[in-house]
Amino acid sequence: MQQTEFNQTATQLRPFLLGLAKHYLGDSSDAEDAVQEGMLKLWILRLQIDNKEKMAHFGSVVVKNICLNVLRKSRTEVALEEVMEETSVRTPYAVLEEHENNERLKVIVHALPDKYRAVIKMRNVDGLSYQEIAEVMGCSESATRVLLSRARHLLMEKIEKFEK
Amino acid sequence: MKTDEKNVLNLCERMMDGLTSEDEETFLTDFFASNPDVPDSLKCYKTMFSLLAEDKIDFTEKEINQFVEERKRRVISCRIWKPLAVAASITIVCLLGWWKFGLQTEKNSLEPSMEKAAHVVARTKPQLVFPIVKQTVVHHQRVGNSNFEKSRVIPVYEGVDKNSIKWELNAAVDDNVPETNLLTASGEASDSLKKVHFSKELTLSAHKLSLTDEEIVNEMLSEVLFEIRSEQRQLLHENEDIIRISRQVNKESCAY
Repeated sequence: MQQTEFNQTATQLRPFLLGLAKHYLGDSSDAEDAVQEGMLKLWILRLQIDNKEKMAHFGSVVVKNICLNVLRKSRTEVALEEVMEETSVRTPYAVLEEHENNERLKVIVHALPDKYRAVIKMRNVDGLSYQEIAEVMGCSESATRVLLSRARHLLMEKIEKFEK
Repeated sequence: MKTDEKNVLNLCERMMDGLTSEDEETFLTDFFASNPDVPDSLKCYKTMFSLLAEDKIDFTEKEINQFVEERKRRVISCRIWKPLAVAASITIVCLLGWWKFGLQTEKNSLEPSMEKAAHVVARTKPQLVFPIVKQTVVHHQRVGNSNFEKSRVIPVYEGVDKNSIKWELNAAVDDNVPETNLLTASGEASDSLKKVHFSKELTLSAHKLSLTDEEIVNEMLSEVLFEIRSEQRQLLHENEDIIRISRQVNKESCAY
């Protein structure tokens, strides 16, 4: 799906997805965040999306999954550091040693929250402008900049740890 | 734009805070792509831009599929767990109910008979309810030529008079008190207690002859003594036979 069509469909779809998110998370900012993250993920998925119906279906599934994750995390709040540790536990150091540095870094980068990865990808890989990202997410440009800033700081934090 | 370290570092820091324009970010991307060696202060940024240039941040196919993977299991599990929880609760309530009332009913169904048996002697004497058992009366019912096939163990309590014994015997026979209950009622104490045997025929004949209570009891006791003695005699004979046979066997084996 092309960007223009995607943006149009996203605008139409947003109220429905927000309703869905509110069903799970209540009338909170979490619901808004879930929809924004859902839109970012739909953007990642856009090549698999042929039409509005499929986008609506994907959107509802993606948002529902995000909501379930939020609910699960709210029960057992886990710091990112712990997740990182878990990741390193799952992948033994000996195995990592065999990989290239880039591969090791990739593992660390992939431990970033999906939302941050998606927004960095949109800006720095896919080359979308801040305004375009804001349109996809359904929020203001400044909110997009704040989100990207957080994402970059977290990514840099991981890189610094890796470099050390 | 200036490509000196200070300017690039400044731009990088601004980019981190989301304050750079798109052009400035493009400049940074190009700068790091065209400069393999950068000062130490920019190394982390170099790593970051390399990652982004190589799209190391991209989602794997598996991750993308997870976005749209219907989490049916979770939803289904919720759908299953709710009715299961309800069913389990109902089962627990039913079990508790059965335990509370069912077992008690079962107990109650036994208790009247047991109570009837245990207190049948003392029915006319409330002060004798649950006294110490002193004696257990065993009532035998002779059936045809066979030996005492049925027996009833009837507790006789301390302080019970002869009249009660007579009444109890009749009541036990006439009321058809279940044997099990009678046995259970007196079972606890019966082992260490003296047992007195009565025969039904004797009791009935005693009534026909209009014997006094004392006479009935005496007759009963003599009957019991006779039975015990005859049993002892029989046992003695059997023992003698066994000894005799064993001696004979020994002899024969020795001769052989």
